[in-house]
Amino acid sequence: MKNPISLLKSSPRKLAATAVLLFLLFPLITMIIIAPGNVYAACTIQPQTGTCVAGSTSGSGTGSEIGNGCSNATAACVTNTPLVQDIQKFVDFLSAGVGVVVVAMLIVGGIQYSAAGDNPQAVTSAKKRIINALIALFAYAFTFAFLQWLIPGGLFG
Amino acid sequence: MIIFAKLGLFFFGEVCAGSNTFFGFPHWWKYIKSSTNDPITGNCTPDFTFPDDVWAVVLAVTDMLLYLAGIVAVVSIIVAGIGYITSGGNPEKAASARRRIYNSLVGLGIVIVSISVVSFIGSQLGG
Repeated sequence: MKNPISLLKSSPRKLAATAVLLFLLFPLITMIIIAPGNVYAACTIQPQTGTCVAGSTSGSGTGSEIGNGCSNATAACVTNTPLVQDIQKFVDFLSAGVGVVVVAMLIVGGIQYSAAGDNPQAVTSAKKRIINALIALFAYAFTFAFLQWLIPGGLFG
Repeated sequence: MIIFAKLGLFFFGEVCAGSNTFFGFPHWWKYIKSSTNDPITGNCTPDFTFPDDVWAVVLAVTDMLLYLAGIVAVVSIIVAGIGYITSGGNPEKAASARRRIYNSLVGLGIVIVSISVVSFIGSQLGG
């Protein structure tokens, strides 16, 4: 049985990738879990008029105006649910920091490279740090693209 | 969406331009928007609120790291130059000094390129 610290030391790259994926998939997983009971129950669609009425939320729209059934109105109902709005704030906060943190880690790696001198091991560790920061950036980029494609209405404003 | 280090000034605006700083390092409150600046004394009162100003502080720390990277690279090149001068015809010492200079220049290049690479990828995402 490994303790968490030794796990962190043994595979930091795997751990970082998992953390990024978990943080960005968290809203998706939450939406899937709560979708039948909570979010879509708040939006009832009246079949005669095609109007989408939000139950406890302020989100409402008419499907007939939009012209593609009630899917856009349902998406509006989901977006206006307070829980989803909280998750949205959290995701916006985290994704705002990705650029700054990746730049900071690249600069730290560059400082390490400069201070390495003629020691090959220090150069290797600096290279590892830089490559890990770039992997984090690309993991964010691909997860962003995937979620933007998957979630109706888009995850990011 | 993503805050780019290059565009940090446009996102946050520089409220207090600190004049008396150590080696020209920026203050940590440089990008905090709600700070108040006393026009007479020039004293700055940072007003930190938790969720909004976190990335502003991280951006200021990144600025400090930029300054630090330049200082480290220059000092490393000076040390390597002294080592080159005092190598005295010893080929191993001269090669070591050359490697040192090469490494510090590569590190400086990575630091300079990093900001534009990350902001380019972020802007391709539609930031």
